[in-house]
Amino acid sequence: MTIAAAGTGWTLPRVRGLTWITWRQHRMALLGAVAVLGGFSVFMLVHGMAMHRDYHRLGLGSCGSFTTDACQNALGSFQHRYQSVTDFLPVPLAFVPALIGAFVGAPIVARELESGTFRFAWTQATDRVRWTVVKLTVLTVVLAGLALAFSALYGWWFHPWEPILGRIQSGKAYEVEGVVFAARTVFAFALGALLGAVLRRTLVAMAVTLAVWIGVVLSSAIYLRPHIMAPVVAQLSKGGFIRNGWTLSSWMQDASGHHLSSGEQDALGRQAGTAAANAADQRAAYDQWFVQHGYTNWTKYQPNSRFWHFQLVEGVAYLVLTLLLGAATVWWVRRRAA
Amino acid sequence: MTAVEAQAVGKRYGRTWALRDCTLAVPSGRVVALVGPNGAGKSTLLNMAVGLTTPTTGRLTVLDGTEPGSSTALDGIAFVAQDTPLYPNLSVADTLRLVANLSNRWDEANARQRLADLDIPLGRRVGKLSGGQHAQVALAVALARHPEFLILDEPVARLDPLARHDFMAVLMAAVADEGLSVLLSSHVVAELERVCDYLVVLSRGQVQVAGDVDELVATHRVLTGPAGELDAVASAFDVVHAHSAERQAIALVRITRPVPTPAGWRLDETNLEELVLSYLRAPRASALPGPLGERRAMSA
Amino acid sequence: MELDKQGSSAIAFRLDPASGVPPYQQIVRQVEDALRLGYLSPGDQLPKVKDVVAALAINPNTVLKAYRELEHKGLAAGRPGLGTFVEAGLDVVPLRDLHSLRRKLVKWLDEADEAGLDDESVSALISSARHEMRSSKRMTAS
Repeated sequence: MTIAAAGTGWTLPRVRGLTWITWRQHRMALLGAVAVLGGFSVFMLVHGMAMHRDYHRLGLGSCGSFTTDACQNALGSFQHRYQSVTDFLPVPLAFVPALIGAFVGAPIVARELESGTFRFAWTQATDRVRWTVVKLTVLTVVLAGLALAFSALYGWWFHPWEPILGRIQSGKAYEVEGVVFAARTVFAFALGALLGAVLRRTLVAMAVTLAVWIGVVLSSAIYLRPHIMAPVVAQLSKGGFIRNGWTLSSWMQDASGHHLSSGEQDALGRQAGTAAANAADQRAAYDQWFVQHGYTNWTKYQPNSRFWHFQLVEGVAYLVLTLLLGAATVWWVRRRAA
Repeated sequence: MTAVEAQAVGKRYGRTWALRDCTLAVPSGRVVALVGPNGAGKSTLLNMAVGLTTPTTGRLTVLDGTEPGSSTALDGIAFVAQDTPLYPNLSVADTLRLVANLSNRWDEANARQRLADLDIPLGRRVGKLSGGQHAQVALAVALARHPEFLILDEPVARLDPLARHDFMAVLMAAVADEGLSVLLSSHVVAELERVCDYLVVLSRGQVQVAGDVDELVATHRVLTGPAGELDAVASAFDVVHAHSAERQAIALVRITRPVPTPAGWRLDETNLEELVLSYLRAPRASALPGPLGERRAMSA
Repeated sequence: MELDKQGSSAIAFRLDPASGVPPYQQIVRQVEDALRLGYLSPGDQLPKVKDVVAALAINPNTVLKAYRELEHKGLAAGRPGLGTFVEAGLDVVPLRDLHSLRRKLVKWLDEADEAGLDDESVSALISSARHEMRSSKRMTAS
């Protein structure tokens, strides 16, 4: 009679065993996540290689701030070919963390409760707390790894655009590159696990997870993110703009600091136009008129250099949420099962 | 040595009390039957014993005072729940591996031998097994853990007669081999008599009968006689339940010492099924372990 | 024809749940019958508890109880670690004598049936006749 002792407690064989169980029970969900990320990855690889090649071929790498005519032409050509995909891609990708996280997280506890298999799984020699902790930890690490790798790939793909568009603009590359993408993925995962445990139904938990996640992510991006660091307030030349930062607002003000409304700006524009009508360089005279009358342009923005600071702050915040949700899930499972 | 001990255990779900003031000491080393109508609280009691839920009031311990759900209790108790849940998408071999990975003492050879004896292919997905095979896999996996105590919640309710027999045969052979304590719940009484040697009847959330099967059967008799004399007989005997037709009456009585059969009446032995049914029909009667002759009134 | 060979046991048991006789007693009687009919002789091993239990799906204690009763009657003895073995035999009636007795009995039962006796009356008659036979034997012996 051979009896294999896997050991009590947190021994390596036990953790290995629970890891195998986690893989065996959730491999379909993980493969689904890999498929989704993989699909986008293949696209980015193919598209990215062409985009990088054209970037170098057009000589945009040595353009600096795109002041010369040649650079402006090259930029225009590059943008014409690739901007629409670049602008569009982050939109569906921004939601991928929610889909993946909910899809992998919700069934962990919910499926056991729904199908009644918890009566089998949670009455073996390993208690359900240990079972839950190992599952949550292993899957969090795997999902984080996949998401970080994906973010790195996106970073490579997006690299040509960094001097042009910057990475810090809300709603664009920021949502996919860096660590926020992965942090949001594990946040969705932990949220899905907890809601699955509480609601006891997989599909319902997935739906609620998506809804809550969207609410949290959107409101934090809109209301919290701008305040992570106090924005830079800078004066612009007339017609100037911050190329690769995240512009929060811009305005024109008079000599006393009063912000002008768009109606007032239109009126001034007509005045300036009339005054510059007879000048040799109409464009320069038009701009000069504003300067002479004390009108200045300002902008409030977050510079591109702050990208990692913002990413880390948000990332840590989502990570803390994830840990709290994970702890809550373990606590809930521990309470009672039936 | 007690396998399960309950002291005034109650369990409330919302407004309903599934169990109420249950006091019970189930001996170890026996095959114990837990019977009662649906909704009597059998599953609730079993869920508490395996740590899936906790009592609202009172205290329940297993394996001589151990807390259910503790590592000792989880290790020593194997549970086969209602409808023998297993993961349908796992193969039989993967199911073995899963339980092995969760167990402290796992006898792989034992499990494989059992399944081989029953011609259950290891590569087949659990969801594709027949009802009888499914139940046998659940049982094999539980037995290969070499538990001290095996709890089964209506394990054969959905099986055909042959599958039922085969399941019970494997279970009884394991009891013969290892002397493990068994607690099995059922709402079908007829087949329990040959398998169980200790009986607990749960009715309306309370323990109505608890005792050794042989002793219970030996201390009850069936009186048959003229319907008109039923009241007189009832005053002399401890009647559990009686029913009468126009001319003839039949009463199940509890006897604690030899009593003479009243003239014109016949005294017969009874069997487990008749005994259980009579008690279930008489909610206020009870037969609980205590000093001879004592009969505790059931709380309403 | 479906035939399940039941291991190495000399005899096999069956249970009649409707007979009103407790299972353990049915086993005792079946062993005694086997002894009488010559299926078992002293020194033979009684079926292992595990085998009986696996075939009949009954509680092992029932079998143990039956075997203990047989020990008590002096018919069997347990050998630790080996099993339970037949100690003494009941008087084995040669098969030929058994046939002739049986034929006579069937004939007598036929007569009793013709005379209008029901089963209960026949049993009562047999009991009282046995009683009479035994007391007369005792008287002749003393």
